Amino acid sequence: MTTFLPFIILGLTSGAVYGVAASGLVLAYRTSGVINFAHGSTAAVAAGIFYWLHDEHGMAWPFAALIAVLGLALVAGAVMERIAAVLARVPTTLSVAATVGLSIALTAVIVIWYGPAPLQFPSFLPSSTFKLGSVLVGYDQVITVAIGIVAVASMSLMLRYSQRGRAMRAIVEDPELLSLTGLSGYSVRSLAWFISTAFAAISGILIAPSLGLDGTLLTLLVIQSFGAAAIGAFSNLPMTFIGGLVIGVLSALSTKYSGTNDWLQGMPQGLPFIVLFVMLIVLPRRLLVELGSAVQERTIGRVTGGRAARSSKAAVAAILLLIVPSVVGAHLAVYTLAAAYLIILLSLSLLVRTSNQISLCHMTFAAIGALAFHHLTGSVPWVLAVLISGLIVLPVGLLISIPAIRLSGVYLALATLGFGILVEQLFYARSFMFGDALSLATPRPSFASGPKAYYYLVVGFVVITYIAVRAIEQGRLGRILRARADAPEALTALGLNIRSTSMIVFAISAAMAGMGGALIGPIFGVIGQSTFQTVPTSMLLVVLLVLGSRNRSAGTLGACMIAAAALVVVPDYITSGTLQSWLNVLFGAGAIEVAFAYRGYGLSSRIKRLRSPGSPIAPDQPSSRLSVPILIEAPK
Amino acid sequence: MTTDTGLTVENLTVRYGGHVAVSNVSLSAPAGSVTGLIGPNGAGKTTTLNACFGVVKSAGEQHLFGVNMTRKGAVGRSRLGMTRTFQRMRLFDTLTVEENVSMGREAKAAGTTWLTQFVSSPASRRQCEAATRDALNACGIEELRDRTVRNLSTGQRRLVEFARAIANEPRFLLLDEPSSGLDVRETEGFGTVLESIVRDRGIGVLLVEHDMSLVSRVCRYVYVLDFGIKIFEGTMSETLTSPLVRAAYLGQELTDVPAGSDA
Repeated sequence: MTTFLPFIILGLTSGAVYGVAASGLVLAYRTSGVINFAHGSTAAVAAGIFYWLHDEHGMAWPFAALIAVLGLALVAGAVMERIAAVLARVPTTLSVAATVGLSIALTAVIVIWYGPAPLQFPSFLPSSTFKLGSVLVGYDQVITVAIGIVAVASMSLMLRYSQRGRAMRAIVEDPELLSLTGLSGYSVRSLAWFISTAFAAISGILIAPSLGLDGTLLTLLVIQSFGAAAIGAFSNLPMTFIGGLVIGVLSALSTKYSGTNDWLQGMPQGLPFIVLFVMLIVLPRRLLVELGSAVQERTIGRVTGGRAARSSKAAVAAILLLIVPSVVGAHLAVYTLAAAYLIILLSLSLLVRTSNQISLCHMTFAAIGALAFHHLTGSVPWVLAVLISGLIVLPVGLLISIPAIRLSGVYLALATLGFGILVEQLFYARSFMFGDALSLATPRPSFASGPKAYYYLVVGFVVITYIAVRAIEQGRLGRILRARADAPEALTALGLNIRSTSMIVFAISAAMAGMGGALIGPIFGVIGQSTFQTVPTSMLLVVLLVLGSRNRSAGTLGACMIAAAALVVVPDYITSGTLQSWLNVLFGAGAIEVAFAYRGYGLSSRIKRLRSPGSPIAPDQPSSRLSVPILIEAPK
Repeated sequence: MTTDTGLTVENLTVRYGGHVAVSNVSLSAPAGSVTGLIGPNGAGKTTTLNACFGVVKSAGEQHLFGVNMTRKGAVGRSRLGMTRTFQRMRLFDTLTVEENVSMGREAKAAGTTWLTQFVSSPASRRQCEAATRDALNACGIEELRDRTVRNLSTGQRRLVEFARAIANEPRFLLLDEPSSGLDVRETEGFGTVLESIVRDRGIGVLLVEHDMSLVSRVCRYVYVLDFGIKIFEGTMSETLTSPLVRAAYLGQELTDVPAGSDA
């Protein structure tokens, strides 16, 4: 027992932090119907403020913590309430993209503030220890666990017994009904976001000493807490906290063995996602009813414009793609990369734009495709190797679509994010994936070995992918997907098993992404772990695709081209790292703006109103659903 | 069991936790006519219909044209030739009327195998077009064909949902309160369409309904539920004169059946 005890105490300490973070996440979700993917970045910002006050300006830690927690919570409580109120009324794809965008933006802010390298974050709690039996326990550990228990217990009591708490629980059920009781939804939601942000801030400050001040690492905290939230079925707060403790302890225990057992390497980091993934698969579906799921509409409406408009747009795209090598000079490799990403984005668009599903692990599919290509190349003809790489990813896509069958919207987003991180943490270092090798050979074909020739080859694959995506969109599957976005139950009633549709689309999309990934390797000739920053890039892909789709007349190819350009081409021309971070801030803010625009609160409509005051809020897009009458059943 | 039995339900019981929503209800709805299922609010009508479509768990046996479908889910039952409409309409709001109705047939064709979900043969396409044309015709909504469904009135939407179900070419149809949200004239129009389709196509219909004017016009035989129990069954005229039904359905003090007064 004494060999385990230190690990259990360690696990309880970090588990308490996960528990606090997760409780805040769940509270905000239950009161506003929005899962905040930026929860971890909020924690990181709090840690940044604390560091600034305490370590750079010498403020005593209790004051620094108080200011960081309360100050951030006050600001975020007000801002997030406004954002969430809009996000609750847009399709899940857009609301997920918006908070993912916020997360990217906040992470970038940290990088701008403290630089890209993680900073040492000195421990501020008393470091003296006492003996519990034969084990040394730090006072800092005791304080951390105590803070966690007090925070979560007081919130649970407040929710159960106070009027505000009851209002908080009621507001998700029916915000309008709540306003009839004389309580404003605004104040209730603000309070919820205040508490949620405060909890994120507390957890950020508590965990920063062990992780360092690192935007990306702290952002992952949100995902650690997703596992805990899943144990609480995204609703039960005490269970969520206990879930955090369980995950903390299991992770710590696996640390004990990861040194000796090869397979357990990466397990401490991967465990929360295994828990999340498993919980999403085994929890009864009725517990995972998406809050605010009344909005099951399609993200992107039908593209308007006739055949002539479409073919002229296609011609513009074709000319752009063809003249690139003669005008970009030394940047050609970047454009080739953009073309490969275009394939991945086209595959993602099949999910996000056509099927209203979301995937936050598309770069994982691409990485698997690239690895498959590395193993195949040499033994099979080059083109065949690319195609087979796609086929190999197909069953992986099918595996991920198991949660896709059961889950919709935000839970699918969570499952895919969990899968992406799991693969990165647990499998990248395995020999069947990247292993220790820094570079794995991925040669170009003999018939297109020059950079120009290879560029055109990738463009050829883009054309094929686009034709395939287009055929699917225009064909029967596209019609089914459009219908399903509006009324899935109706399709079931008409004799179509829509679960199989989800699987098919997900698998096709994954295979295409795998193919795109396979084409990335030969640009550089080698691939390694660092070629695929899977999680951040997957998140960025979704955000950029949504951004590119803001103007509906762009069409599928247009949206994907805008996204690919923003992802790889623009950064290549920006040499300053700070500027690049500002770009990410812009992308994140843009994703939120797209969600606002969907509801008619976008920038352009605001500017219009500034010009002609008095005119009512008009949706940017005529097809926005503000005009839909709410069907109220006839009185009986 | 002969095939013209249409839908038969034996000893249907539905429990929600400890609460018994529907208790031991048996009914049969033959092909070629409309069978009514009526009762006050909360009587268990929609629950019964949902159980008949396999979307709520139930005890008892259900057959469709002699085939035991008790263990089948909604998709399986639909493949046996049954489809339904919804009290709160489930339409493809962003699609046009024609696309909505066409999906009635196309979803059926697509559901055959996993491959048919993304490839459609020319023959299947022609079938879809024919079924769509016929259904639009039968429901008298050809002029609306290019309108986007979300811009239509409730009455028109009801007809679109009905046309979509008809395009599915079912042998049996479950209708869940099709008159809810309609005014007297629209309800009448719906009744006319329903009657002509049942006559022309010989399909069986189980009609869950609140509006007595519609029920008394189109139903040949009626089952009455109250508190999840079948309290009466009989022909339309028997039902209208039954004091038991009146007591349950309209309240003790009423002595006359006012047609359509509850809308």
